[in-house]
Formats: sequence, C-alpha cells, structure tokens
Amino acid sequence: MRTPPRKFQTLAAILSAGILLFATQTAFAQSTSPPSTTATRPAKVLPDQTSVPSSGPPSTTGQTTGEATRDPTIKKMNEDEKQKVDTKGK
Amino acid sequence: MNIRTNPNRLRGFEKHVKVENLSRRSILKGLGIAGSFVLAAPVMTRQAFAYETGAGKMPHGVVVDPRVFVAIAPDGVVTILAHRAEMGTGVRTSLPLIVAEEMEADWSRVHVQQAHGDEVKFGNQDTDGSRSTRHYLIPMRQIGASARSMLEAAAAKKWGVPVTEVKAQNHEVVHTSSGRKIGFGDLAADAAKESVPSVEGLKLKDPKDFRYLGKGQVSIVDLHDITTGKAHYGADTRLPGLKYAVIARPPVTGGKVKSFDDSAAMKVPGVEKVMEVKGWPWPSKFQPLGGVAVIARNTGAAIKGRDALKIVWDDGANAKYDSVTYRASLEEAARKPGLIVRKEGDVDAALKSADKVIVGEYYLPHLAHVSMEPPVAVADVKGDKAEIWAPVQSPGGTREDVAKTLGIPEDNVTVNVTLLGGGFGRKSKCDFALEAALLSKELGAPVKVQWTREDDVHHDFLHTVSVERIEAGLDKSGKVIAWRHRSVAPTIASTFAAGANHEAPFELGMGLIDNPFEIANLQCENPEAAAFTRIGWFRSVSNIPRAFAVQSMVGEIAHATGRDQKDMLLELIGSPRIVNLSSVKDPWNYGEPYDSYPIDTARLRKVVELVAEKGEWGRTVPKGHGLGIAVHRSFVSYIATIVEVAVDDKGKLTVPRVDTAIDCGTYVNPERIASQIEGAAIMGLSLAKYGEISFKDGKVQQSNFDDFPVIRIDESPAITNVYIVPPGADTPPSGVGEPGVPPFAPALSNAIFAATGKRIRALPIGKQLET
Repeated sequence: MRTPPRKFQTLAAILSAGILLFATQTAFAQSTSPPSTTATRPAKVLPDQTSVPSSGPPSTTGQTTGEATRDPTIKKMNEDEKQKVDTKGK
Repeated sequence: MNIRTNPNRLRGFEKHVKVENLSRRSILKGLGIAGSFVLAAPVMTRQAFAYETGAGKMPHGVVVDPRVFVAIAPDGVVTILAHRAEMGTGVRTSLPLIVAEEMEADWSRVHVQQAHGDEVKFGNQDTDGSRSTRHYLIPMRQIGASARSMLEAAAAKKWGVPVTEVKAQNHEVVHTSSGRKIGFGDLAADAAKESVPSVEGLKLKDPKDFRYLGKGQVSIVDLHDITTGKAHYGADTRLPGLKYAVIARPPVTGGKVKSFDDSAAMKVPGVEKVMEVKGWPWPSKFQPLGGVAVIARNTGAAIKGRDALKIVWDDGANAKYDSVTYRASLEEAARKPGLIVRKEGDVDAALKSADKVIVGEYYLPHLAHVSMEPPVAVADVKGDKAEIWAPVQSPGGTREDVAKTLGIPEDNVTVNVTLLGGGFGRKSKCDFALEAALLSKELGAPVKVQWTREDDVHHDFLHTVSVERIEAGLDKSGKVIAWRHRSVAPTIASTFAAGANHEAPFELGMGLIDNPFEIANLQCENPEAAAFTRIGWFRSVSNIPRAFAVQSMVGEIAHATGRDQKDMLLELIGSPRIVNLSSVKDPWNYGEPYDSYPIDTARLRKVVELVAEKGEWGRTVPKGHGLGIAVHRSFVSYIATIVEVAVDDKGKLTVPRVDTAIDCGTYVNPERIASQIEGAAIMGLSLAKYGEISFKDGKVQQSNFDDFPVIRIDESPAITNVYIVPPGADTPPSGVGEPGVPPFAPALSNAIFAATGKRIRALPIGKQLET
C-alpha cells in the first residue's frame, strides 16, 4: 500500500475575484494510518454459489432481450443516454 | 515499446517518431520522399480556426472563460485546470500546455490541477471518443490568449502606456520601448480586475513563436509521481472511518439474489457487515448490478468474507447465453439480408454478373477492458450531500448519475477525479461509483468499493461480439465491381434500451457506412442481433471488427488476383476525393461536421504510401517472416500500419517490427502520439493473440490474466516506428488515443498469411497457427 494521499484540492481559482491564491477546499482524504490488510487472492468462482434453473430459450440474434424498467428515474436515465448516444455517439 | 539490444538504437523520440516533412501533393504525385526526417512544428495559423468541430454540440458544450481555468498566485505560480481525466494519454498535460503556450507562461512555473466534475462550470468533461485535443485545441488557445490579454492590459495601465506597447513574454510582461518588465505574479491582482476579452477580438500567437506546441519536449506532469509510486489512483484514497466493501454480483446479466447465508462470512476476522445491495432490471444505464456486499475493516477481509458467502442466484432470462451457439446464430444472420444502411449502385446485380466472388466471414469475440487498475471508488454520503473519489472518465456524468441515483441535487455532489490506471472506455461507466454511494448512504459512513480483477472480467461492459461478412465481386480483369458488407453485432444501445437489436448510427459509422473504397456497387447491411450482456465502449469500438474484416478482405482479394497488398489497397481506395455519403440516411461522423472532417481519400492514400515508403514495404524478409499492411480512418484520423511477423515451425508468432503512419491533423505533442501508437500496437497484438471473453450458461468463463492474457514485454513488438504527417494550415486536429488499434489486427493477419499461407478469419489467433 502506498502512503495515504495528502489531500485533494478543488479549484476555486478566479481571477476576477481578485483572489489570486486558491481558496482550496480540502477534502477529508488527509493522512490516517492505513488499516492492516491481508494479502489474499479472490476465488475465481465464488464458492457456495448456486443458481436456480432457468427456463429461458437458447440465445440467438433474433430475440428480444432486456426488461423495460418501471422506475421513472432509471427510465429517464436510459432514455436520455439512448438519445445521447444516438445523436452524439458517446 | 521499442527495445533493441544495441544501446545506440534504444528508443528515443528522435529515432522512432518522425514528423514527415512532406507535402500532400508530393505524395499524390508519387514523388520521392525526403530522405531525412525533419521535426517540424505543426502549422497553426488563424486560418486553422476557419473549421468547426462538434465540441459545441456535446452535452454542456465548451467553456472558454479564463477565470474558470487559470489562476495566478502572487509568487507567480500559474495554476491551470485540467478538466479531462488522465488515463495514460497525457491529456492532463496537453490541454494545460496549450493554455500555457498561448498565455506565455513558463511551463516550469505552471501547476496543473485536476478539476472536479462540474460540466456547467467547465464544459463537457467526457474523456472518451479521442476527442479532448480535437475539441479543446481552439478553446484552450482562446483561454490562454484571454489570460495573456488581461495581463497585458493590467501592465499597460500600471505603466500608463498603450497596450500595443506591451507584450507578454515568458511569464513577464515587457514594455518594448523602455524594456521595463513585470512578472505575472505582480500583475495578477490588477489583471483579475480586467474584463475578459471577447473571443472574436483575441489575438493569437503566431505558430512560429510556439515554444511548446508541436515540439514533443515536455514530459507529462505526472511522470515523476507515477514512476516513484506517489501518484494518486482510485485505490489510494483513504478517509477517516473508511469502510471497505466488495460485492458478490449476479453472475448472469439481469440476475438477482434469491437468498443468501452470511453466517460463515460474518465469522471472518475484520468483517463487519453483510448486506444485500440494490440492483435494477437490465438494462438500466450504468446502474449497479446489485448483489451482496461484504463490509469490512480492510479489503482483504472483505474478499475473504465474500468467499465465505452462500448465495442462491436467480439467473433470469440470460442464463442460456452461450458463445458457441450465439456465434452460429450471428453467422446465420450474416448470411441473410439485413437492414440496408448504405446503398450505392446495384450490388445484387453486380455480384451476379461478377466473374469471381470472394466471400469472407470474420469473427471477433467479446473483449474485456482489463485496465491495469480495476474499478474502485470511495464515497462519503452525508444527508443530502455526497462526495466521490474515483478514477472516472466522465466526472460530469458521474456527478449527474450519483445525484439522480441518490435523489439529491446535482449541486450537492462533488466528484473528485483521481488518476486512472487505464480506462479504455470502461471507466466512462460509473457503476462502481454508484455502488460506493449507495453503500455509504446505507451505512452512514465513507465506503470504498474495490473491484477485484475477477469482478472486472466477470462484470464488465464488454466490447460487442460480431460477425462481419463481406462479399466482393470481381470482373475478368480482377477489378472489384461489387462489395457487400453485413455487420452483425449486439449494440451498445442495448445497455439503455430493452430490445435494441440494431446497431446505432455511431456504431455503423465506425468502418461500415463510411467505407472509403471507390466501388460502383457497394452495399452495407445490419442484420439484427440481440444482446445478452452489458455492451459498452471499448477503445476504438466497432472499428476493431470492421477494420479487421475490410482490411483482411483486401488481403484476400490481393492474393486471389495475384496483386501486391499495398497496390490492391490503393486501387480500392481509388482516386483522391471526398467520399460522398449522400446515400446514407444518418452518416455519423464521430460527431464532427463533415465539412471540417470529410472522408478524404487523398489523406488515406497518403498514410498508406508514407508507411509503405518508411516501413520499407516489399523488403526481403527471412523465411518464416511476412509483411502485412492495413489502413483505417477512425475518430477522423487516418492511420496505416505495416506489421512484420515471424512464425516458427511450431507456430510460435512474434512481431519483430511495426511501422505506423498517422495523419491526425494539427497536433500538440508528437511524443504522446508516438506513445499512443506504441500502446495501440501492444494492445492490438494482445487482443489478436489472446483476447476472448466467452459465455456459458450466461456466465463469463474467464476470470483473470491467466485466461484473458495480455502480452508481456517479451511478446511486445520489438520495434514500433511512428511517422506523423504534418498538418496543413487548415487541417483540424483529430483523434489519437484510439485510432492505432483497428489497423493492427488486419495488418497482423495479412502478415501471417504472407508468412504461412494461413488466413486468420476469427480472433483470437490462439492456437490456430500451431502445427
């Protein structure tokens, strides 16, 4: 582990304000003692996990997949992103 | 990476990065190319601003206010804000360097500071699409020029002289007649009171006076910290009282937790809590997949706790996703007519009348990003405020999504951007930051969510899987008279819309409908293809399979007609012209206006001829070696690559040499261009040799670098030479980060064919060459 980071700064540099030094907003990421860690390698496949049998059809190109969300927030986020990629590409 | 045993030939900028002192006309006329390499600064005149880019049409557009981006301290230190994310391209240096150049700041006295996510304040921050320099060369120059103008105005007032008599020069303003000088720091307070000049009235520097732009002599600002281990990446963030979490996510896209038993997990020392986390039905943009989170005093304990969980999953509708059967389905779809997305002439009739028809089907599997740093994020949610620390490519988008997901105002969310240990498009999706935010809100404490490599491979937004089928009809003379290209691949749009089965315009515009070949009968089709997992942007996106197919087919036609690959390629590109895409309903052009960024076959030809010249195309190679060539336009840049391969009698493949020529228009830092091309060669070779993510029972079968390898240093191309076409005065900047990848695989494949007579039509190469 590396030494904990010093701090982050958020820019508030505004020439027009006549304040030429940054009014830095220091976040909380100041030095603390890092917690102890134990080297470990994750399981490639998580043990003791099982799945209930699926009755879905084999995967083919012509299916309709996905589920239309009923959550209005997510629905709007999906629609906005779809519109964005259709027009902006990314 | 260029590694040679002769120390005199070790990689050096001047040895392997060549800015060619050539005129386009000299290429077009087929004249000889200058024998020596001349480093030349790119020409950027006021005329260069006659073009437009798509920057203004991006979400939140462009901000050119110097008060937002530049600050000057009384001691003279100039701080310039980097509003794009650094993931290895050097953009955190390049954009501020443009400002420093134009404002006459001394780079050694410039401090670069990372912006947080705030697109209203900074303009669009999506660091993707190879767009940063393309969209911000002009705005950054304008910001620098504005700051310089304000400093000059302040000095003139101070001295009581006309502003025309003063000039900013290397961190000072000079009164030219008297020789008086005053430093930027001493002027800062007065300069801050000056009004910001209008963009239209700005006087920009003459390119002949550039000190930094186009020189390639400025190291990236993070170089020292990166090489000494001091750089701050996502995983380095720590907060007082930080909780550490890992999440067991549904192994099948769209699955969910049916039940779980955490009794064993809670006995793991250090584990503090186990909880189910919210997921959303798929597709749900970049929302978390849900699952079971283990919260602990450190990440190691959390991982051990997760290993001890007993979970029963409901895999949902995608549990039958199987890459073997799906590939067969893709191939079947590619053999039938699909949605016509470009039509020139009558391809059916031309194929019917052809003397010979050559058919090629090319398969490219799913690919995982596997950036060296897996996803990680820290969130601290307190009441209706949230602060995030994460390696995200889209800090503005992350801010917006965190706010919406938590149901709090966007102004209450701060997104701090760390360095990214690679991105390749994966980190433009902020699901990992949303996971941290949701857990922090639930726990009332700051939380770090760390993804393991296994998590990364299993739950990526993968590069799509595709079959590209091309039918080329030849007349008796061997001339190609018909070209039908069917592209079948699940679309990225499926990540936002249930039932999206056709590729989006931006995907079709990546090497399909923008085919530059001069063929009378040309048709592009897009049969439908359902998605069964999350599909996302991957470095170069759809250009990878398209370039692989199109450029491999050029090699196949060349072989069938007994032609040289390069000659065949130039014949297909045809005459120097602007490609007419009027038959295309939605001719997506990387978001750029076609007037500024047309498909210019003269530039395409130029990079082919340049790389052929400098790469010594046609040179005699030892037995078992072969040369392959490919060219591709992507992200509105033109790039051609020659690969030399060596295949031994057991089928072991090595790459002794790569030569690449790129025309990316006006540029800032040629050293960064070379780095991106070198990296693209390594990545391209990795993907071609080993890259495959496959599914069985809806689950990703690979887990880590042992079964999704990336090439090591001993497999990397021994030499990568890069040749940069100098821009014309009116040539707008274009992409660099991604375009190097697409031509690599087909150049490699063509080289393998030249060496062995074996045609690679499916990637990865894997064991196909073994004897």
